[in-house]
Amino acid sequence: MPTLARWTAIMAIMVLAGFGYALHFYQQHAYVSSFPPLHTDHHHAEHTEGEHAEHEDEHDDVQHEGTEHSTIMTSPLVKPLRSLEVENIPLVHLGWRLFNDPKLSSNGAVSCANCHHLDSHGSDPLPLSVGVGGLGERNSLTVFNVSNNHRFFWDGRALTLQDQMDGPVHHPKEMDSSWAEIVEYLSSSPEMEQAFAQANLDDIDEASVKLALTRFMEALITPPSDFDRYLLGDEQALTVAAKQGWQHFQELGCVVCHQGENIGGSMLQRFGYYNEDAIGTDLGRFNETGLESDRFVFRVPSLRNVAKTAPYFHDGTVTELEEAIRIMARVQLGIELDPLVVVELSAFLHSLNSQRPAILEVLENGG
Amino acid sequence: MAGKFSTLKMLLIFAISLCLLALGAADLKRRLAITYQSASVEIGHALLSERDRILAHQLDASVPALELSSSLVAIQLRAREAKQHLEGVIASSFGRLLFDEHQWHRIKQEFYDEAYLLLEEMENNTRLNVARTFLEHNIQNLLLAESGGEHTDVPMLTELFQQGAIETAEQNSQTLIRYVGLYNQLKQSQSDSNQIILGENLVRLIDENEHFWFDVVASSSSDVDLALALLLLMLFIYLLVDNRARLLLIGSTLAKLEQRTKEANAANEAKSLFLASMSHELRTPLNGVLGIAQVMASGECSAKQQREYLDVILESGNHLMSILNDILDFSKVEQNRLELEEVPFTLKALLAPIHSTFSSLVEEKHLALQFNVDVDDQYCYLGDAARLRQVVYNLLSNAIKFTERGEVHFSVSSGMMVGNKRALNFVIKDSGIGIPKDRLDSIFDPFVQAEGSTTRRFGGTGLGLAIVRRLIMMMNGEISVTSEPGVGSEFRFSVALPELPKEQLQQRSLDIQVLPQDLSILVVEDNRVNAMVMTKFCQRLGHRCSVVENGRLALEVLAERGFDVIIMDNHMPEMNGIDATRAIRQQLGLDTLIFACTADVFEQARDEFIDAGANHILTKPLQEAAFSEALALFSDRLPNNQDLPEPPTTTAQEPPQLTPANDSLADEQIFADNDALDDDEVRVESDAFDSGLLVDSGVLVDSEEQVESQVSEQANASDDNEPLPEDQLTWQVLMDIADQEADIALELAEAIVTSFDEYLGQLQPAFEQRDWELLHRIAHSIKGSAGNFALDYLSHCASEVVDAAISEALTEPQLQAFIALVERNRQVAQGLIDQHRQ
Repeated sequence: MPTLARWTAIMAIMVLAGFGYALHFYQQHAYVSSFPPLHTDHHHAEHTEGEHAEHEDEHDDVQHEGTEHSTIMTSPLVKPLRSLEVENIPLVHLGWRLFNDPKLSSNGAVSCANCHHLDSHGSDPLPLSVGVGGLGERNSLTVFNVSNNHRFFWDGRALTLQDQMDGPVHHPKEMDSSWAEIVEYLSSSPEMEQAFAQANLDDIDEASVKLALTRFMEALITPPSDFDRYLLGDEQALTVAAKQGWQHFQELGCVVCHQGENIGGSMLQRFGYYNEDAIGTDLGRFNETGLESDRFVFRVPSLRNVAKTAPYFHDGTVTELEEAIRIMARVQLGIELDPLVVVELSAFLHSLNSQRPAILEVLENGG
Repeated sequence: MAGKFSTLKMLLIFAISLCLLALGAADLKRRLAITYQSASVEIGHALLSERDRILAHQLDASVPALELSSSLVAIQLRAREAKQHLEGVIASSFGRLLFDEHQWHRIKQEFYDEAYLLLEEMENNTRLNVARTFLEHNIQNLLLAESGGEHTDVPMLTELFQQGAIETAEQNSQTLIRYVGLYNQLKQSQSDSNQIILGENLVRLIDENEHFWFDVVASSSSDVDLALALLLLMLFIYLLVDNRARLLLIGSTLAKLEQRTKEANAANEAKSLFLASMSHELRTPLNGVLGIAQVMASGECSAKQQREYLDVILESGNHLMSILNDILDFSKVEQNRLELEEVPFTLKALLAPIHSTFSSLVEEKHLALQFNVDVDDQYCYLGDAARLRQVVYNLLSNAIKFTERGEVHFSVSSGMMVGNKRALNFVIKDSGIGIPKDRLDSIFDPFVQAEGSTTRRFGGTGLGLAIVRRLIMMMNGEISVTSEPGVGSEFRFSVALPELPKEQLQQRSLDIQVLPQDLSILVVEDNRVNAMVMTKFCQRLGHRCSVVENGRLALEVLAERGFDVIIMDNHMPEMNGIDATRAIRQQLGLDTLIFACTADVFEQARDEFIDAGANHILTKPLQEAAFSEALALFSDRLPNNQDLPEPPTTTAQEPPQLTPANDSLADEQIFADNDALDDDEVRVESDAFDSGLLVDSGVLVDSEEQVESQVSEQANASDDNEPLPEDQLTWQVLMDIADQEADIALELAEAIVTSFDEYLGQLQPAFEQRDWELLHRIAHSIKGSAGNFALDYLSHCASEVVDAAISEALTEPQLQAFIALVERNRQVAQGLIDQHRQ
């Protein structure tokens, strides 16, 4: 039988240990969101609208300052690209190396860059890309400006870039690998270990690999296009045809779905309201959710650099931009476009072309 | 008591710790639940507000569809994150311990799964809305063209178109019909979707979820409160218990202190009582001593008177001694400093001295003493014989003391055998005054006698029975007393002692003070005075004694007959003690006990004696204690008296048959004649009570010194007035040595005068002839005599002369001083002779 004092000490240590464990448990499991707080006051419609109005006013003010008496057509739905300062160059460099590393795949031959060509426009000129297991199922989407999207993949099944990566890595037809294998490979390579160390990453694991790739893709913001310059007040940036095309783009209603900085890329929409015949056999989002309402639902793709990223649509069956424009008008708007309008729309879409992201030059020149 | 409390305290501390842990767990649960509650509230409210926005979008597309879509994405991401966290909690073992797993699974499943579905539905609703808007736009364009712009409301136009109110062109009609069909389809889908998102489902879901979390938070909060309350309760109980334990500790300490105080008070009282009774007890005999001494000091008295006075003083002194011994014994017993020995003894040996002691006493008081020993004498017993004897002695002496007439009965019987121990039952019964009933209980307490008046009538310290009881208790025995006043008392006690066959009795036991008696002792001593002293000494102890003058004569005597013990002096003419001893051992081959008796204090002389074959060394002047001890030590080599001694007869004492030789005390005449030796053997039956006389005499001499010195002064006043040395020969010393026989004392004094005369005659011539050997011998003889008669100063001077003679450095003045000193002592002895011859 221990003495009273010893017993008290034992109990005190037990209690302290218990409290310590409880504190640790709390820190681990208490729910603290990593996202900004949700706006729950939207139902105060007036306030929200007021806020919006204010924002728009500000926007207008900015534009008005530089371009008084201008004829620039602005829209609250489309915004110019924000430029990005890359802060952590070593981390982005690591992401770039990983992106280009074919050893991440099971057969050591397929890197991310295989299907997302960094030297051109971030996607694949082939209708369907070739991975480890042969041809893929859907057309490759560009990785440029990808971080401005809210949803990823053609069916929008991923909500974050990190989740998106799981797709191509595990897909048997694409890289046919797993994070465990990738981590094992990276850990066994002294070169990569050094690169991780340079990027200030202590561990080589799924999270750090994803972080590096995410930071790299976030850095892939293209330089301003003609249209961006136009939106920012340069009236001369667009040709007359392009300006006409922009006019049509808004009036026809294209902008209802293709909006935001990326002019598309986030919303979901059913493909082929007016003509289901043109759709093909891909059921789209239905394959993921199984909901009847998701049949033929796809993500609205971004139109940035669209003139460069042929072929078009999820199955890459259309190679001509103007054909694609006509199809979109037919199946989504239920109208047959006048050829001139198609040309003008095409001119507008060409004004969305831009150079490769500047960071790539830096990285290719050795960081 | 303390152990019980500390166990209780430990349990309480354990309970308090458990309460603390439970408190922590409940609080953890509460805090966790609060984070999930706020997350689900946020998500729920976001869902509601998003629904409102989507519904508003149907009427007025002021909010961009992209914003709605991205809001939905944000909500979905948030919900997914919260769900993953929750899954983490549910998956952890501690989380399962904290929470009701099934409930959590349910809320996870229902809330998040349905939230996902609702989010999908809202997304669907949004895109349906977009599509519908386009369709409306198209239909409107077509119909406006036809109807001339009267109506702008699309549903109205559609209605009108379907009723055929609007005429359309053939080509447009086909398109319109298809569009209106599509429109209605979309409308239907949208209203279905609206029903879903507007339905009870969302609100119910959010409500349920919020309630669930609210309940979890509330219940865990009440758990926290409960744990806190329990904790406080436990703490309170702990404090109560602690307080109680402390109070009890203080209480018991106080009780202990009180007990101690009581004991101290009792001891103090007893001491006061003791002092009171002691002062009386001690005063009485002291008065006897001092009073008589004063009487003796006050004037001359006859030898007979002196004898009577001395008897009184002796008696008083003995009484004092016994009182002091009692006190000493009692305090030893009281402080547990007394240790019992374990030595085998026989009952007979134990009782013999008691019997012999009391027989005479009983006879004096004309009482009958019955002595019954009913114990098998085949056995001996292991125990402290001396203490047991003391018990019997005390009880018997009490019985005799308090009995005026009638008889005293003593019996011992062996009782039950328990283990290897035999119970011995002692009964001492008298027909004395008895003890009143109310005093029986306290009779064994110290300083208590049956009555205060008892002390006055019979004396005694009141310690005897207390000692008896303590001793018996130490022996694990029992004592009891029954008594009737006026009829008599009966003390019974029994002790259980290990019983052994008699063969195991170790003969050499020192404690059994059954000294051999009636020994034949040969004293080899050249100094006539010393020889006389030793003879008396031995006779008093009940032995027969022969004296020879030197070693050679001793050898002659020993060749003819045997002795039990030989007491051998060292420095003797013709043949010294060491040589004689060696000769006895080697030439005669005798193993007779030889006690060497020497005044040499140096180890060397002793070693030489032991080497020569002496058994034991005694120191001069001979002490009874040392002699008895030596006898006891070698009692196994001495003839033992097997039977109880006959009751000693006080009448058997006869004056020693020393040949009186007033004019010439030639040694040869007395000692050299072997035939005469037999006649000289004197048997003296001594009383055990008086055996302490010689030892006590020192004390007595001191007390008598003043008296004696006055006497001497008177005696010497006529001779010269020069100051006397510090000590000188006294009559008392002579009387003691002579066993109170005045005649013998006179003889001794005469022997001193004669021998001193002889020495005085030899000293000067020997010095002049530088005969150191002779000087040495003479001085040594004087030293021996001086030692016997307690003349320390003379003895000291003599030993100085001896030393000087050995080193041949004796000076004329020193010798003259010594001669003067011897002369003075001779004169004193002569004075005593003159004084007492009448």
